[in-house]
Amino acid sequence: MTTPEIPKSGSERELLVAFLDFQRQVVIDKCLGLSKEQLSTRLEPSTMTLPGIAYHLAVVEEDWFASDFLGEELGEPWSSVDWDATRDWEWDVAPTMDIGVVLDAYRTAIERANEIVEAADSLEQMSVRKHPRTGEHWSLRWILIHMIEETARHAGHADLIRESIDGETGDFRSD
Amino acid sequence: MLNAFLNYYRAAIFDIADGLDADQMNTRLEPSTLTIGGIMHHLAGVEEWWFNEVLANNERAEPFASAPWDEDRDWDFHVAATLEPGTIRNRYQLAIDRSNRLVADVDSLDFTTVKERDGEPFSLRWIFVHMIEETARHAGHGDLIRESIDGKTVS
Repeated sequence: MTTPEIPKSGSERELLVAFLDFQRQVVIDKCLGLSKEQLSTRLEPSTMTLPGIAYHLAVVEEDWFASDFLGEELGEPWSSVDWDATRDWEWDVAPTMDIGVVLDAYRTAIERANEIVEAADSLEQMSVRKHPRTGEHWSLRWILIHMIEETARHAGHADLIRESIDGETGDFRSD
Repeated sequence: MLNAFLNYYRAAIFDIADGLDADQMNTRLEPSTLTIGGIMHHLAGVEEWWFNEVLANNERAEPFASAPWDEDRDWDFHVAATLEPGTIRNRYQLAIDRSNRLVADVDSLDFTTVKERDGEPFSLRWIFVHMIEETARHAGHGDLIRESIDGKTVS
């Protein structure tokens, strides 16, 4: 693992988005240059797949930024899913999909998330929605840091899955 | 807030290693050569580097100072196979404790380091965010290795 080339000057908002963009790109890169069969590979006993990670992060992005922070309803395809019946829907369906469609969904969610972050008054701005149990709202700063660690942890899962498929490791840029 | 997120992930690493014996700490999920013991020992060195050497501008501490890095760039990972689990956990905890002491001496996240890379110093904020993403990414590696050892998943 290399240290990301993240600008050391600039605002806190730019710094957090740059770190998040780095991990997002790592996850996308891990999915590139593989056949559909390779993409369905699991590193057992874990049930995770590379497309599952990317599709999961797509809905996580939309859930935190558009839904929780701005208070919007989830868009499609997420809003039509029966989440009570299929809690892991995005994980299950992603390996059956064209990887281009999965990554487009992730890229679209990222673009929207970055627009939302840029438009916010400050990192202190609080989310419209609140925690269902504690009733607390989240600051944009908290959401950004959470997204960095969640994306990085999944990038770690993707590291080992990708290495098991074709030996690729690290923060590579393919295709 | 940054410190709280980093502490959460430090605790996650301890959780991933919780209850493992020496063989389990040295278990690989092939073809990766990573082990949970190796990850924890590596992160002890990463704490030492970023907080002791970069943030505080101190000399490298032992055992990292006299390690044979020239012979093995991944010494921190590899030597873990020869160490008792308790030794690895202690080294990580000692490094974390030192990091926390050094951070307590700094009054702002905008503090910038004496050490530079590409002509620019690091802010404490930059170091924190980097430590969060690095520790979280290694927790991701540890998640899959631990699940392969005994099915335990840590969230």
